[in-house]
Amino acid sequence: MQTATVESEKSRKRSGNLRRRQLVDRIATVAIFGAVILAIVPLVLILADIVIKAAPVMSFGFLTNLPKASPFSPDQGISNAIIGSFVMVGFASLIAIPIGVGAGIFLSEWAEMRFAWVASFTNDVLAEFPSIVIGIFVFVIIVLATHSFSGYAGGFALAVIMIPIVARTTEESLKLVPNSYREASMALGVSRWRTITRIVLSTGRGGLVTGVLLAVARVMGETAPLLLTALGSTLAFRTLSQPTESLSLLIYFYGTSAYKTWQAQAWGAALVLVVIVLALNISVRALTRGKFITGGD
Amino acid sequence: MDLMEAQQERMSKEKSETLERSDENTSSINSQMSPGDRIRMSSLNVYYGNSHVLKDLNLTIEDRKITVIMGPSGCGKSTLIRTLNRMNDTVHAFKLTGEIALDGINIYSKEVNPTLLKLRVGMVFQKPNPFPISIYDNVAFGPKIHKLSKNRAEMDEIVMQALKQAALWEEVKDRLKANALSLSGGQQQRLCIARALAVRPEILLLDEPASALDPGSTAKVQELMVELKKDLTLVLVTHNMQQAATVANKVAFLYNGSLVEVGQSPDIFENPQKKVTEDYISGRLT
Ligand SMILES: Nc1ncnc2c1ncn2[C@@H]1O[C@H](COP(=O)(O)OP(=O)(O)OP(=O)(O)O)[C@@H](O)[C@H]1O
Ligand SMILES: Nc1ncnc2c1ncn2[C@@H]1O[C@H](COP(=O)(O)OP(=O)(O)OP(=O)(O)O)[C@@H](O)[C@H]1O
Ligand SMILES: [Mg+2]
Ligand SMILES: [Mg+2]
Repeated sequence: MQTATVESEKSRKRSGNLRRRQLVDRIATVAIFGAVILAIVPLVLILADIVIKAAPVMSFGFLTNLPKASPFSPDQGISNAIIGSFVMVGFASLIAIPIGVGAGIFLSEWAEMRFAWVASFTNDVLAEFPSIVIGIFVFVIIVLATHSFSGYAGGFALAVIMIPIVARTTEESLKLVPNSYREASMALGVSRWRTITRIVLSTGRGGLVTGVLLAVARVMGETAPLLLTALGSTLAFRTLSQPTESLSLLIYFYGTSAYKTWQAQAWGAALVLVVIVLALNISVRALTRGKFITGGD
Repeated sequence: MDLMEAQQERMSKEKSETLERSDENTSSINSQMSPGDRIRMSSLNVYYGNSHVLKDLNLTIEDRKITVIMGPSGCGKSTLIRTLNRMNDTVHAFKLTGEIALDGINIYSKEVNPTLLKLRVGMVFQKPNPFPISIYDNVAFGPKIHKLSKNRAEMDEIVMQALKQAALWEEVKDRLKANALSLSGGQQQRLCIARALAVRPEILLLDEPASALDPGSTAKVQELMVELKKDLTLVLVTHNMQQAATVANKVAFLYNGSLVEVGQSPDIFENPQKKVTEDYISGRLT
């Protein structure tokens, strides 16, 4: 008798708990969907705004012509800014990708070393550094030393920003490679370095490529450090040893100018920049979804 | 066949290189070793941080024999065989005292290159760990790096031989390009055996190589071990009493990190000298 009452009490309690949990579950699901919508709305609004405002200036000539000295001249364009952005980011990548990937390999594969812990901490601090501070730093050590603003100084500042990002994402994607793969390779008499190049990097390369592309996308839009280093230019791009224009600098100068025509061109340049960054992000998506990531060689 | 000879030659060359570099300490240890011994552990202690996992072990592994390590879960069997090819070097807070001599040379001395050591002392892990690449590439990985073949046809031959030895060939011969992770648990385990055999080690450490195998494959793997014994020295960890009784020459019983009893194969099962051994064998150990 008594046991029966206890039993039914228990099961009633349990089903009550179950109903409550189901309710909580449903509320949480709705809340999460709401949060996602709230996060997406501003993005869509900004994109729509850019497209609408950029539409009037968008043309093939806008992408291939040079800026003009007068805001009222016809056939103005942003070709020097597009080229300058790509060349400076390319130069930055040449420096930052090998150093960043190398540092990331060290942080992941020699994590047991005390120095790796210090390096990892330093890397985190550097990754969080305000980019204007990096701009000032490069201004002092390169621009003042060479007595000239230049694309090299700009590219170097971008590289300093990229290195910790590439290092961190490389470290994280290599740490995801199961340790049993490393052990399996080492047990076949394969050296640590070859194990890294043949097994660890090829298994973790998906995350690695993702990290590199995201770092490139990130510095594509950097403005503050370039103000103090590349300076900007209205001339055609010739060499990195001269002041160099970038899309972000052009948006800054035209956007803050007093002329409607230049403000419209700033919106056009903004659209070009957003499209480039989106393209990089989409290729990351495509790569991480494709065979490239999971497949062997 | 001349491929095998070439490998043998390479092995013996590497071996003598390792030997030459440490002539001084060779003589002292050699004097304690009987001719049939490959590995001798003396006063071996292993710690992970503060936990003392192997306690004052003395054990010899004989040439071209099967030595079986048995004992309850967590007693240190995997730790023991992983120290034999220095697989534990990279494990955090791993510490070892005492000595493990391979052919008279302490493998933890500076003269020994841990990478070359692993080429001679191969290992099959407790958990199957195939690479996430094709079945063929898994087996060919070691031979490729150590340049054991001159051309594609030779490599195909090495891969086929290794898969046949591991009793896996029939099941995978039509899908060598498939990803190894698509194999069943038991197939992965045999693939790992094939991969280890493909680099032709002198000594093979097997950590429960048949734990996920059906009786048929287990029997085949057992036959393989007996076959391999002709050229190889084997150290086997197993919980399977029947398997131990079938293949073992020597059986070492490990309990709580201490070596409780060492004996020849049928004896130790029929006449265990210690109470714990008897309890373990009869399944009464809790
Ligand atoms: N990397 C490690 N760090 C710390 N402790 C460890 C580590 N590896 C093993 N141990 C501990 O050492 C002891 C022996 O472990 P080991 O894996 O050698 O046992 P085992 O005899 O192989 O057991 P099983 O039959 O379950 O595989 C256990 O108590 C285990 O928790
Ligand atoms: N993800 C997969 N992709 C392709 N083939 C697969 C996949 N998983 C399993 N298989 C194949 O399907 C068959 C059955 O596999 P399964 O893992 O179910 O076997 P099992 O009965 O559990 O075997 P075991 O006793 O070895 O664990 C095997 O031939 C295996 O190679
Ligand atoms: Mg074990
Ligand atoms: Mg299964």
